[in-house]
Amino acid sequence: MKDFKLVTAKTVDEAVEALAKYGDKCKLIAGGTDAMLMIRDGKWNNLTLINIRDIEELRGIKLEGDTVTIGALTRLSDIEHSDVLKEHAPCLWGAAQLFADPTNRHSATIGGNVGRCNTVGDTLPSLLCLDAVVTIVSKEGEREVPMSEMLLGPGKTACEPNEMIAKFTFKSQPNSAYMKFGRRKSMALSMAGSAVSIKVDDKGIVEDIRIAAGNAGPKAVRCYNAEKAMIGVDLKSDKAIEEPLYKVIQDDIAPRKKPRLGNWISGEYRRELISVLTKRAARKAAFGECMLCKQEEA
Amino acid sequence: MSMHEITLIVNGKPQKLTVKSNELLLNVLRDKLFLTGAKYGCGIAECSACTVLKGDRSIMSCLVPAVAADGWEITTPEGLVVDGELNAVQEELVNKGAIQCGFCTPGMAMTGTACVRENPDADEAFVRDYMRGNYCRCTGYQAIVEAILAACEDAKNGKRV
Repeated sequence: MKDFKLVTAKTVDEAVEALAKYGDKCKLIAGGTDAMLMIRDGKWNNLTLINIRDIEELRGIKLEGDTVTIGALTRLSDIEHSDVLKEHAPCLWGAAQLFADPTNRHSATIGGNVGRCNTVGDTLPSLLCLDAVVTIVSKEGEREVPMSEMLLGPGKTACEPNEMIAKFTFKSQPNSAYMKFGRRKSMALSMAGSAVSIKVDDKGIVEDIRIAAGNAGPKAVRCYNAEKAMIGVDLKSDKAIEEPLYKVIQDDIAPRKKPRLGNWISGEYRRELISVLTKRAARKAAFGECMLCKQEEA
Repeated sequence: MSMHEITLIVNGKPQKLTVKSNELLLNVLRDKLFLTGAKYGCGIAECSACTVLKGDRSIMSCLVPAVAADGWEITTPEGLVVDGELNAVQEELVNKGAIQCGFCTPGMAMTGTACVRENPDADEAFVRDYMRGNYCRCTGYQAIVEAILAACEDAKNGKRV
């Protein structure tokens, strides 16, 4: 194994103390499902790892009124088995079930997924569409960053080297859903993903909507233009949603001419995927199913 | 290179060990404790051959620095055997002929055990979903799924998992 040093922090105070001491010469390691790969790949060299895996105070899912709080070290397996999230944030609950495989989910944490800010991170679109607020701690204290300002690019977040993510807070959104398309079911990175939180009236007309696309260029993005264009649209009509979801949404997705990761997936295909996944996620969020073939009859 | 004193509870026995920062749990289990059940497959969390149990949860030992595992309760494939008797999952893997080259089998037994412990009422879809990270390059998946479903039945009839 490549060389690295490791210090274990048992509390948040110990962790921020260590972060202040080592600064940009250290990385946090929680579940390690991504961190160890970076070391093995030689992308992280001569680092001190700060092991925060067993800080219990950063673990757990809480519901107070209509506000949900998730600790940064909450494992994906805890999220997929959470009744609170099943009811109040089905998009995040569903994303956890599509995340890698059950064994990885026993280790991987939501804070790690956001902190690594991988373009393909499965929890990112859901947290964006839930409009979550990230609480970041450092030795100097706490600050709050909205999720929309958190993600800066591949591997880059608003978190400074001496800071760490403590928790995520968002309002209950029972009508939300996440859809992902990967090359296969197991351990597949998402080729594209889409999370939607929606409010429709009893006729299926969109009153309020939040859309976030995953792997849309260098990072997951909120699709503000498409959101605006979707207001007042009949979600059941394939014709009506064509303009916002197949045309307008393209302005939200960063332009990317070249395929990423060798010939993994072309930009054109990804655009198409995001449109289709957003349509399905919106219908699943609003009606509990994606009405794949039923819309013609309606 | 800094050394660390750690205590692992492996298969019920506390083990005091001195390890380097960059030693992996998998290597400590294999090279220091000579528990060679867990296998080094891909090293990048793709194949699950190195799976061990932390409590009742399956984890990949190739991703855990040994120092981070200080104080953990670990079960390796050897630990599933009590008094020379295989547990339900191991026994059904044998009964169903779910072993070809055998390299993935310890990992399958560990993840399978986690699966049965988590949900003894599992159906085929649940088992296939749960086991989806475990690779068998002989592609003997059908027999493995049958074995774990059979182990679920055994568990309900009181056999040890």
